[in-house]
Amino acid sequence: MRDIPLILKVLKKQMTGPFLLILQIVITFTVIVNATYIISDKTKLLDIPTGADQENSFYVSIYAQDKDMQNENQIKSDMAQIRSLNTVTSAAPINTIPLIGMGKYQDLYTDEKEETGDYTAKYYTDNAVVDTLDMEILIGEDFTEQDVLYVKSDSIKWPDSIIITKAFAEFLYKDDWRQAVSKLLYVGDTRVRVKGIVDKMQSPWYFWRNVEFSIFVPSVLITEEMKYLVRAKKGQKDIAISQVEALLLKTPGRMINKIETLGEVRDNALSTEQGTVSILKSLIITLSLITAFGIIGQASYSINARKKQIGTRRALGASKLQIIQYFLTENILVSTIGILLGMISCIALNLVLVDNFSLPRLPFYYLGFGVLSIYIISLLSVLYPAYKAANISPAIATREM
Amino acid sequence: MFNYYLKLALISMRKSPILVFLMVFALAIGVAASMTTITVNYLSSKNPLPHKENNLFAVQLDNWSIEKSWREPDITPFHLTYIDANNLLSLGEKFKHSPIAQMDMPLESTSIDGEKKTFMAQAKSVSHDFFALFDVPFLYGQAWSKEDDKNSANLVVISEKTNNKFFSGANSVGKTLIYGGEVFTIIGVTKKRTFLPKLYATNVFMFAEPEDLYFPFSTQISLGWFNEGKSIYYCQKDKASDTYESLLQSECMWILFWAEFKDKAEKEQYQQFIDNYVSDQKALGRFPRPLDNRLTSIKTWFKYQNVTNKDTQILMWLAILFLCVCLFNTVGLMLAKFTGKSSEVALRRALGASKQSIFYQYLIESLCIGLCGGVLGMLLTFISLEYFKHIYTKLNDQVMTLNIELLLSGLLLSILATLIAGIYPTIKVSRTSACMQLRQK
Amino acid sequence: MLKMSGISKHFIVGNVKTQALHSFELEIKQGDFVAVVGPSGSGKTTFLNMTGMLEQPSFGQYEIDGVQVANLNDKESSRIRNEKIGFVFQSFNLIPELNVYDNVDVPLRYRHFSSKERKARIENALEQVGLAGRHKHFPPQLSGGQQQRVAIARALAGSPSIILADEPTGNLDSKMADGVMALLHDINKAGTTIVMVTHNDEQAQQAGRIVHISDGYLSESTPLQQAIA
Repeated sequence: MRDIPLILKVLKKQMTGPFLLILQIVITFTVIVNATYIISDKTKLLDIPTGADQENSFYVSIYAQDKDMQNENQIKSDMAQIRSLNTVTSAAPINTIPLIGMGKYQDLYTDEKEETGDYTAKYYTDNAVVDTLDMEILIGEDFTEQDVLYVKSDSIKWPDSIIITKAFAEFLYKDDWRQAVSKLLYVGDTRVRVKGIVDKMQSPWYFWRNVEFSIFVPSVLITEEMKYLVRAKKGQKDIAISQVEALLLKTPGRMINKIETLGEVRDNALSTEQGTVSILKSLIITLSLITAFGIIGQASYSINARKKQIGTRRALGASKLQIIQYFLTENILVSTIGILLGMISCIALNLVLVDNFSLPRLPFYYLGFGVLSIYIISLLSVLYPAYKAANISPAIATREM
Repeated sequence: MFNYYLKLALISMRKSPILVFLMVFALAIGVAASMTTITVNYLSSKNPLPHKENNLFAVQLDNWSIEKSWREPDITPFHLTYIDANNLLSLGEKFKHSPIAQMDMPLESTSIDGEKKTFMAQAKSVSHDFFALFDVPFLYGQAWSKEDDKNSANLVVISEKTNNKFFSGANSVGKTLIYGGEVFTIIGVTKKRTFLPKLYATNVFMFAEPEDLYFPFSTQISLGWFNEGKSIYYCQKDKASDTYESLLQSECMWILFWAEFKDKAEKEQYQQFIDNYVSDQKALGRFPRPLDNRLTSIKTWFKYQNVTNKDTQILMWLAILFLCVCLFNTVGLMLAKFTGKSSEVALRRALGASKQSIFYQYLIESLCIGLCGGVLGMLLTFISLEYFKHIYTKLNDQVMTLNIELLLSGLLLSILATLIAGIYPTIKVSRTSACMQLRQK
Repeated sequence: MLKMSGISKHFIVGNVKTQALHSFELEIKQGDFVAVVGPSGSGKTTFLNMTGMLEQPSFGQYEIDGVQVANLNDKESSRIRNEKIGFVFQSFNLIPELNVYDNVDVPLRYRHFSSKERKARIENALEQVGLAGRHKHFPPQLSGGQQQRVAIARALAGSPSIILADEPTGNLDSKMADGVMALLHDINKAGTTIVMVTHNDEQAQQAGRIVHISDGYLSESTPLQQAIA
């Protein structure tokens, strides 16, 4: 401790080395803390389930050469056959899949003036959707077969009722989401009734602020390309896939465009986020290593340059421990200056990220994490050079250099 | 003299291999991190037709409802209705422009022998000007003609990849394929090329795979086709019914429209043309919003489409900060290395080297280190780009491929960075006094 | 031909002024062999540094071959030092990573000779010191005497007007020392002026002139043999 004024004097004379180190520490601190925060933010995103039975569900995209082949009867027949398979729990035609990245959205309001409302994801499907997507009706009722319409285009006829997710209900009726059931919602020029509210289902876009807002419209949208969502029995997914495929191909003139499991859809959607997390992790590790080497190098060099001085101190009675203490203190001093400046720069960078990339603001306790990391890296790095310094022979003092 | 300094630099580097390795390695990693992220960002927002920057424009008409703009803050719809696309085509015959619509259908060969190959083709329906507009290169044949557009001919231009699939790469002009159940004759085969981001698309679809085939827009209409599932479309008002005719008469927007002008005068003419057209339509009760027809430049189009991924941009800036740390590291290491040479420098000064000579000598040593760092760095960049391709499966591979331009930029970056890092140590060492250390051996 | 008049040197550190050398006059003619003697800390080093243009005098004029060299800029003084002065140090100061050829080459490189000319000069110089054919050897492979000869060759190669030797035999045993001294005298007889700092009385007596430096004051005396003769 009493070394500190001496250390400061020495540092003032030989400023370049420590100055460079401080710069490195400032940037390392800034990058590590911000990167860690981004990682934790993304990991939260990656952990949220879609709500569906990801392990056992898949979809088939089919295409009919003959446009007219795709009609109500064909779809109903397909569904009946698929549902009768002993490996299948449930199946439903659907226009899009959670997290797949494309789909339709709709704005709905509680009032005609459109004051309370927002956009939601819109799933066109039949009355088997709640079971197929592994949802639970929290309040209200599920669709019946009579509710379902078969339409060729989505901009004409709305059915009488829809099912919405709890998240959307909470948004519409902040005091009590349960109120939403059996209410009329304004959509376009018409109104629909909320028949039931389900627990959870994500939209096709994972990055959307309204990702938990979904509505289910009991209208099967007949297009030249149809998607059938199938929920297999536990562990039977692979068998179910080949059975469904074979079944559908029995009808001539059909082409299976794609079969994808919901797991694959989700992995695909989140692959970028996962990738960014991996890259950030490597960045943090490499940066720490480089700074650590920088500290080791700088310390070794400055100790080498002061060999005679150290030897002289030993000759004058300093113990090995005292030498080590001296260098640890010097190192802590430099690191602390770096950390203080680093905290300022770190917050500054975060503000830039918040402004330009709409990242959330950094919570203050992350700074503490940064402080701890830097001290640990710093002290671990300086240990070896300090140990070498302590072992410099006092005999150097008398030797001619 | 340069050769001499080079020789001295190499001898000096060989003398302290660990130190040099640390310097080169730290530099290489910093360069690799920066160049990888810079490459991805640069390639994903680079105009693929830079020479057409002042000639090629997207046509946007503001056909949205009066309450609020189509998208905040004041972005007008990207797509046109059929009414407007068709009218612009027929009324503007003297201009070079083209509609672009998504129309994926199954494609199969007509050959009876061998295995029947069918796959879902990624296709766009366009008019004949499209190919000139976007500089589409042809391997065989050519685009269809204006007459073919008028006659809604069943012609296709297929991609090299499709041609390889069905015809093993031979000249297939004149042969037929079955597309969407209809027989089409091949009139041209396009050459493979890197064309990213795809101008004639929106948002993430600008990075989708290249098209498998193109066919006339008029043919799509005459066949009554519409990609309900795949098209991006939005309607200002509900359609009257769900017939095809109804779609064509509706205010549903699903067609992109691009135009090319040979000079500013022609561009102004076109602006006048669309303004007059919309004013006429207003008289018929359409276009409720105030007149706001735009000829959007490629740059602005990119801005609207949010072409650069937020994450890759953040990574780029973090990587550059990382490079700075590596640089400061290098400065420190160079200081250590060069000042360790002070006795030799003092000797050379005594023997007649001026400060300038010493400066050049160590500058060249820095250059050598920078070059080594650059070469290793670009190697690492190549490897990490491959890793990126593996991670970012949604991003098109071509956006993560090094070209000569980027390779040289990377080397230049490394050399420049090392020179900057080396300035202070080099100046310091050249200031070594000639006499200080000489007696203290 | 060296002419120093009114030369003095002082150092100021903080508030303290130290007079290293008091004003003196000295003229050295072409072909002289001057020994510089004096106790430690007397100012010999300062004198040598100034003569070798490694330091600037505080006052006075310094002329080498008719050229005023006292207050030149770095580039000019480096050039003149390079062309006119050769150095031989007590601890040889060869560059260990360079071989004999390249070591002798060093001062020539700053002179922009053609490679042919450099080769000729290097070979000539090595022959003069008796080390012809040792081009590829490295300093650690040579004995102390041989290393010093290489240093002398390095000093000779540029055909300097004057060779400054700072206790050239200080690190050599007596046999090698004799060899080196003989070499220096040969070079001197061939026409090169030599100014040599030495602690060795015998060596001093063999010189043509003796300059004493004590407490920063210069004085001259004649070697005994001359005095007697």
